[in-house]
Amino acid sequence: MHRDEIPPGTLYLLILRTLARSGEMHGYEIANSIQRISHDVLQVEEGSLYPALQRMLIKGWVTAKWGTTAGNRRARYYQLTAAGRKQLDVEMSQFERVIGAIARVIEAV
Amino acid sequence: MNWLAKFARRLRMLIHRQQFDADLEEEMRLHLELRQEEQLQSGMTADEARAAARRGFGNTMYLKEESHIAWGWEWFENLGHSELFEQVSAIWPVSTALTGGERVERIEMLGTSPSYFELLGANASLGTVYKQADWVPGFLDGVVISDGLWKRSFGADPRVIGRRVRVDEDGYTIIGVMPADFRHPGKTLNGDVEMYPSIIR
Repeated sequence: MHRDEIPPGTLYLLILRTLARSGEMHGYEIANSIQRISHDVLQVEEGSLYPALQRMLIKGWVTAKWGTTAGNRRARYYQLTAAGRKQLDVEMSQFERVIGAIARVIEAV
Repeated sequence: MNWLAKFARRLRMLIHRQQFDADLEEEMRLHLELRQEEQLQSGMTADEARAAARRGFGNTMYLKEESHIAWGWEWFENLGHSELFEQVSAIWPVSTALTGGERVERIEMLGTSPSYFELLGANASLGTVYKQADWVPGFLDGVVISDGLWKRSFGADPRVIGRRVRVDEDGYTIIGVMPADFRHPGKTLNGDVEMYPSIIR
């Protein structure tokens, strides 16, 4: 099955939204969740995921703490902060504005 | 976003760099292992699964390198090399991917404090530079580029001012182009600095 890469600029939005829905997740769960919910269309490259999570830590949008997986392995769990929730709203409205604009352009006759 | 909190967080991470390295390595190892298991369950042989899991990751060393850059280690390691600037103007060089020019390319970027150009007494040859007075808590959107990048990536187009560019996941607006003979007087990573954002954002 062909899988598209995440369009540039939307990775933050997808991670923020995924964490907002699920509370706490480690990196692998985040990547899998995005892939599953998008019916395998969106594939998060691990090479983008971890640097993005680092930047989100710096920006204060997420916090991370070590925990244990169901399979009893140590994993780093990420969680949204209040600033992260605020950023999600910002990214959502940006996304809607851009998608709306693109739709208008391609539907124009 | 409180820039001071952000700075403190960055500093804390820098101080605990070894721990951070170990954490990142463990996190990436878990990711590889979980992917491998998933692929084994889907009927791949062990060798195939290992190869496929690694493919998803790209080069592990390179990935770690990228994550360091995200945290700004270089900036920390450069402390003491150009003391004047550290005392008065925070600087933070990174190597990063620029999109928005004629092609995606790897450039050297130097995060500076808003007072950087004033301290050097330097001005743009096209457009303008940011100043301390422009400082706002949180975000400085404007970015200054080098003459070299302007010629190479933007075809020396004078209409480059106001153009949006993207560096990794962050968007900026080009506000100025520096003169051809302007160089960052401190240490750089690989070559000349080609983009000057303000790090207090």
